[in-house]
Amino acid sequence: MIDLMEELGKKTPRYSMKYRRLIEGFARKGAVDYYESGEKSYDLGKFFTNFYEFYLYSAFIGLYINNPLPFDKDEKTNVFWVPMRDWNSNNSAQTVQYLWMIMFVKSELDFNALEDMDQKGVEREMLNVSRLIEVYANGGFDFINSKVTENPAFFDDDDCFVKLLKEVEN
Amino acid sequence: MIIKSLSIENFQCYSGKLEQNTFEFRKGLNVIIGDNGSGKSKLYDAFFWVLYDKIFDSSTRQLIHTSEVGTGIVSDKAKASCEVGEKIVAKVQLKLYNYKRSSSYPDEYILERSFTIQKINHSEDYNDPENWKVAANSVTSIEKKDIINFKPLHETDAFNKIVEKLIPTDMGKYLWFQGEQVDSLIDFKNENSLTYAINILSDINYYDSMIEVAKKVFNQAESAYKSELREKSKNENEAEELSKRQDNLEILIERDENDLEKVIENLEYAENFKDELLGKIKDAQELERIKSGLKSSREKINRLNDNLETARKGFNNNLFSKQWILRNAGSYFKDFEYRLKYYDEERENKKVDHKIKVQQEAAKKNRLPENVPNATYLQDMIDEKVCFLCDRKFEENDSAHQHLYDLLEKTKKTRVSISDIVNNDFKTFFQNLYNNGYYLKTNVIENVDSSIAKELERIELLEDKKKDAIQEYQLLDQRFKQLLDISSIEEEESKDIVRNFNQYDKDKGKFERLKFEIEQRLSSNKKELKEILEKMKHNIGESINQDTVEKKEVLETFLELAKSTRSMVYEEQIQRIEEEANKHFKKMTADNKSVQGKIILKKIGSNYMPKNVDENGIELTSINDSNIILIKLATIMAIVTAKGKSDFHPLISDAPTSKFGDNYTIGFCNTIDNVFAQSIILSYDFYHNMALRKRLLDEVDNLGAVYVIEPSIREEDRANRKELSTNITLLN
Repeated sequence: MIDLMEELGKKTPRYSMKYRRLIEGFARKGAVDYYESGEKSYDLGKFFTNFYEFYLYSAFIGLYINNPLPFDKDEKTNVFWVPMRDWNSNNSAQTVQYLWMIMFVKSELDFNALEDMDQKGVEREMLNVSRLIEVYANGGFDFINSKVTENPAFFDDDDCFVKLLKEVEN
Repeated sequence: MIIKSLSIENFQCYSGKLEQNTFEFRKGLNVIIGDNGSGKSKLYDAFFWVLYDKIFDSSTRQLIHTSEVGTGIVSDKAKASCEVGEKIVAKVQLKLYNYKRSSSYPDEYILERSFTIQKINHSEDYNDPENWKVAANSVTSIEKKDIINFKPLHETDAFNKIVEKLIPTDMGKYLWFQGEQVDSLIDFKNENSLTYAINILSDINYYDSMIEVAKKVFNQAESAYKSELREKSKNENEAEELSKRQDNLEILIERDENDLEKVIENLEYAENFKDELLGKIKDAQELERIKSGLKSSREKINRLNDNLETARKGFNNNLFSKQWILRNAGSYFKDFEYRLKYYDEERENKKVDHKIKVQQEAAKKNRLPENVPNATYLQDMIDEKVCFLCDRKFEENDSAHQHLYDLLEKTKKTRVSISDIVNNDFKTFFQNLYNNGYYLKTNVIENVDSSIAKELERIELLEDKKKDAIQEYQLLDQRFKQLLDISSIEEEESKDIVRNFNQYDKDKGKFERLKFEIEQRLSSNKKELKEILEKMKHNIGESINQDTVEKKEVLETFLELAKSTRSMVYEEQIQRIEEEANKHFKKMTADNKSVQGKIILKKIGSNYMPKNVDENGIELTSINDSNIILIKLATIMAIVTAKGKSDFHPLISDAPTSKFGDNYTIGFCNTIDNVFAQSIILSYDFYHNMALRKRLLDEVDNLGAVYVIEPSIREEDRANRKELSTNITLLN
């Protein structure tokens, strides 16, 4: 029996290497350091406790501005070593499932057809869902990056990412 | 005895012959003015060295002997120009006048100390002791003027005798001191120091000896009286017994009297210290209360700061912890809901289709309509072993029974299972996504904006609270500073004041209780002792020798007399010192308009302490450093002059006025020149301050010689000591 939660959960979405510095600038690499040092993300001048939190944020931004941006053909990409099933700090697990829910809508995947597929077919479709997350996150990164270039002072405020959320109200 | 002159030859920075480095002194106040590093301390050393063979080492703050200083005693300039084989003699010569009441002509003495070194190596390095042969000791000589010429005195110890006469050992530290030592001469924290000074400088010890003698002879007389009482008793055993009890009681009474004295002394200390703090305690308590308020206010501000920082910097964290990130994602839920509905319908359709298919296949086989007979009837027929359609009976396991049984099984198989219609059942997964979405949509997403607003409100509230806390802190701090100014209590002092005040109060209570207990015990023991003595008197068979009785009584009176005389003389002495000290104090502070109060010598236990009080006798607590020094100097002068001893001894002091302003300095000069027949002070104060120098020359009544000393080479060339000598200029 195929477990979709597991199929999607084991995916480690990719991001374009050109946003590596952007990600490192705003997010801490992992929560492990946080637990060991007792420091909070903002003690290090970072807005996000984990890379994947920023990734999730970008995916939602990409979604809100409706900017699914596929990687270029020869785009250099990288993956997070934490699979999506483990994106569970700070209530993230619920948020991840909500994103999946949206992606199932956006992908226009036929749920009934999916149930008729064989293992390989299901795996292919789940990869497509994961790829869709990637393109929305990529669109989000692109938008944030442009914002940083245009108005770096915007990100001086502690509430900048909440403000940005309001700006992209659809 | 006064100092006529001081001459110096090749001693430290004073290079050249005696004649080149001579200071002639007069009666009254002599002043040697010099800048820092001009040779004042070396001059002070020259005085000390000629008399005591020691100089002051400024690095160790100790006096060191000539043998330890070695070639350092000798002028660098003299050493630098010395050839191999040549000798250099460092020399200090003091001319003294000893005025006698019997003659208007003084005895004249010359005291001299010299120290010789000889160059033995060709070497430029004159500071290397290896290049010098150094005398083991310095050499002294003393000469006395005999009508026309000075002739050596050969008497053993003549030198030391004259030194002792000039500056008696016990008075030395009060006649000869550096400004910085004044504090320790009369230490306000040590109650003994004034008592010690009075004992040294007055003849109160004479009365102490008198009391000792009186005590001794009285004890002898009393002892003789007691033995006679015992010897002449009618009942020897009883007399023995009473005598023993008497001895015991006397021991107890003596012990209690000693204890009582100590307890009273401690009680006085406690009362005195408590009284001293009385003027400060209210302010100190208030300061402590404010301090504690400031502390908690600071903690509150820090706490609010932390909370505010966490709230501000952690604001972004709410994107996940409060799921603000989903703020714009509500509309997608509806789409999913629609898709899920469609999916469910499709599954139902599939189920129905499948079921129909299965039933059609079954009907084909049975040739009976669908569900005829239905499963319930089939089971009833099997149970009752009769066919309801044809009414035929059958037996278990016969062909009719088997047919009905197969029919029943087929009917069961027409129920559609999910696995019959799909390869994978993802219903749970999609339903979970729906449930999660439904929860977030209805409970979170719709409330994101109000959640953000609430958080912003919370931050604003924290900011307001912080503002209030800062204002509260500032008000307290302002009150604290005002109180510090008004009360003249040091910031760190209030805690000690409150603690000490409470402790003294507690001590006072304790000593009062002790005093009462001892007094009670003493009274009872004395009563018993009196009764014993009465009994003993009654017991005697023959009368006691009248001489013995009288002797005892007279000596008892003598002892009491000695004690009261001592006490009276001491009180008079204290009163005289107090009056003298106030006279000096008043004169020294005459030009200062601020309130100076007066000096009282307050009795604390068996000691006295100088205190500065206002006209109502309330102790002044806000006196500054220079006033404290003035009080001490006035007290020292009063002690020294109380018996007119200053007529015979000069006062020599290095920088006694360094902590004073101009008026106090002139006040001090004008006082000291009247108190001491001769005083010599070394001072920096008049060097650059020309106005003050003019006031010294114009305003001081009894002014002696005033010199300015300056190094022969400029300060920037001072490292080259080969040429260093000291220029001495007389100003008047």
